[in-house]
Amino acid sequence: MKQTLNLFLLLLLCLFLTGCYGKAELDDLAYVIAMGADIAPNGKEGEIQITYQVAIPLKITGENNETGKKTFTTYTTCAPSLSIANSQINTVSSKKIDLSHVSLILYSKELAQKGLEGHVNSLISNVAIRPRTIVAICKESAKEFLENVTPTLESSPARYYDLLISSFQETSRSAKTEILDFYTASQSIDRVPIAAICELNDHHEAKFSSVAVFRGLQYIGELKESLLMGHLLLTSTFHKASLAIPYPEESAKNITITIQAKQKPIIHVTITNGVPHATILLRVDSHLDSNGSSIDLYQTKTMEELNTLIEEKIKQIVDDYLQQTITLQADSAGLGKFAKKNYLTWNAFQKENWKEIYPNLTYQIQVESNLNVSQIIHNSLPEFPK
Amino acid sequence: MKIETSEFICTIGCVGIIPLVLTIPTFNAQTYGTGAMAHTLYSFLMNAIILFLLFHLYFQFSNQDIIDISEYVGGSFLKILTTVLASVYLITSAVLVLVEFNENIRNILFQNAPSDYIYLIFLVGLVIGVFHGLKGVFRAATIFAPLILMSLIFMFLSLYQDIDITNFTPIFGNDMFLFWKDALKIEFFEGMLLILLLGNTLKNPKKAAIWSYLFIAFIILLITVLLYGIIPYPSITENYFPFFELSRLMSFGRFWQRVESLYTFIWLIAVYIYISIGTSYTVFLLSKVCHLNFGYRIAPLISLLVISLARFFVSYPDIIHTRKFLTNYITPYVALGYPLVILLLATIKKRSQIHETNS
Repeated sequence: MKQTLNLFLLLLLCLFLTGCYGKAELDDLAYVIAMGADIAPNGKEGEIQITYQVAIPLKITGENNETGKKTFTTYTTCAPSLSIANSQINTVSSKKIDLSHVSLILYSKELAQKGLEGHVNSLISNVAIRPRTIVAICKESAKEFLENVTPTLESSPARYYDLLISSFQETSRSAKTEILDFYTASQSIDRVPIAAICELNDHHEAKFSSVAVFRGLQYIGELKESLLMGHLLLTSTFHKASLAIPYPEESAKNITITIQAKQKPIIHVTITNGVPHATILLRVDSHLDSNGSSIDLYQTKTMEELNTLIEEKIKQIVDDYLQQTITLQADSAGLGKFAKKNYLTWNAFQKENWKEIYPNLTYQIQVESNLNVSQIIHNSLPEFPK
Repeated sequence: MKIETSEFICTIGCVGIIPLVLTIPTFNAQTYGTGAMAHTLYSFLMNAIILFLLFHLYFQFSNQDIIDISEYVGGSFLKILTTVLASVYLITSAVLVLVEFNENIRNILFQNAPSDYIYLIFLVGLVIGVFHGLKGVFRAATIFAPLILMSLIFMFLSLYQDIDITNFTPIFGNDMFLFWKDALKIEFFEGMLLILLLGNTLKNPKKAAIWSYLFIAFIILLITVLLYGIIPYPSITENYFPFFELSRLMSFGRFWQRVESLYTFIWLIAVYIYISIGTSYTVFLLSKVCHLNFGYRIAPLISLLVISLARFFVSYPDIIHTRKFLTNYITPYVALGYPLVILLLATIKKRSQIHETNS
């Protein structure tokens, strides 16, 4: 009797486990892959223009798949909030808007300069949007970007954005700026948020380069693309980069080096009388890619000289990067979190007012490079007689 | 009915993740700020000391549970008082876990479903659990505990690279005095106190106490390091379901995505076990004290009581406040302080009796 009752109850439970509530037919959903926000063209206070880039699954998969602009469509509306914009789009789109596949959230530079308060919060609290979604600032209008972007090599626009933003690992010309990090940094007292900058090139392909710096949630400037390596090195997000180093004796010829992070940077920050001081130790592995000069790099003395040049070059990049952050008065590298370690309580650190004293930063950078010249063919090309 | 030590440890493990999944990490972050991690370690030590003291006293009364010991100290009055306190506490905990989880699950999974619908799922599961009695719930937990442990370790391995240890500093957080003052975080280890209610039903209480403490401490350490290390203060205080946020951070490329579904299932199982344990214990205690021969017959009634009480909570802020009140003002006194006093009195009485006999 007891077993029959148990069986009955278990069967009853099964009925409830797959209820009709919240059911979503895959065919009935419009998958948004990117969202963009601009200042509302009607100039209505409190409203923003939201553009949804929606995938067309039939064009992405199967034998008749396409690349470029045929794989998506866009919807644009003006609304005071994300959820209202969703409702408005649902009135014109035959399928229900679904945000669970959003790969990119774009803000126009113009809107970011006004401030993103209220927008980022609503995205963070929306469970459909992943915390690792990329947030970026668009130099032109986000609507134009999303309407005109043309992924040439990729049929899935979502994958296109993922791959494109991940390329910073190879290029060190941008940074992966996820929405959770962006939000937490905006709430912190020891760092400022950053967001990747993107634009369209002449072929309407997206290009992620450099990063925008914020104070709170307001855009205050951007970092030079060439200095991003410094940012990545200091924030332990550096993977790989290539450097061209002119050799002093043959300055017209470059030696190309690939730099890889050897270990996390060792950073100590102290604050004395309102003046922060940072000591930074960076350890990298350097690999000689090509030797454009006729110098034999297998000579110990030459290698040491080259190693010193590499160290100087990296030091210069980090130095320039820190100088730019000081000019912007924004600790985009998050050095404040290293200063925080020296305090016993939050209030004690808060009293130092890190964001205010950051422009007084003094620092000392030390770079240790470990140069590897193996696999390079030296003296393979004899100089042609003139 | 004898409960194996391994069954008990597994059950405590399942029960132990509930406070971590729900709002307690957020409360800790609100109170201690960046010091939440250091405070967790500090409270491990203090909890170990107090629990050692409690169980040291308890193990002097072998084969007796706290109800029998209460009767020994204060007769029928104390016996009934202890039973009522234990039952009310167990039911309240079960109700709060249920409502809190219900609200959270509706935010993430059943967004359009009415709360009654969710309660119905729990009601059916609860009745099945309670009908099987304590032994049945313990056995079910033995199946799920390894799964829960593996999934937590998997989560740690997936996310440990995102941990930033500077998030644990300043080490004393918001207030140094507050840090040292609130030494006990018994809500993390409240499951262990079930040993007091089991008496001779548990095969090896000493071993169960030591291993369940280590098991819970390990789970807490794993999760708190991830929580406080990845989501920095003050952002963590804004999220009332940070553990779910962590599972959403897990990413394994495009092929395997949305691992949080697995974790939602695990939390569901853990909640089932938690509320089933609470309700089964209440049935067990009432059957014992009221001398009911067929105690399981009141199981549906107690289950309905839990669900009905849960229906009283309609506002999420109310739930959060009640949970905070229970955690800060009830649990330390009812779940820890009261048994400690009873055990101290019992020890004094026992020693004086021995002294009298000897003299």
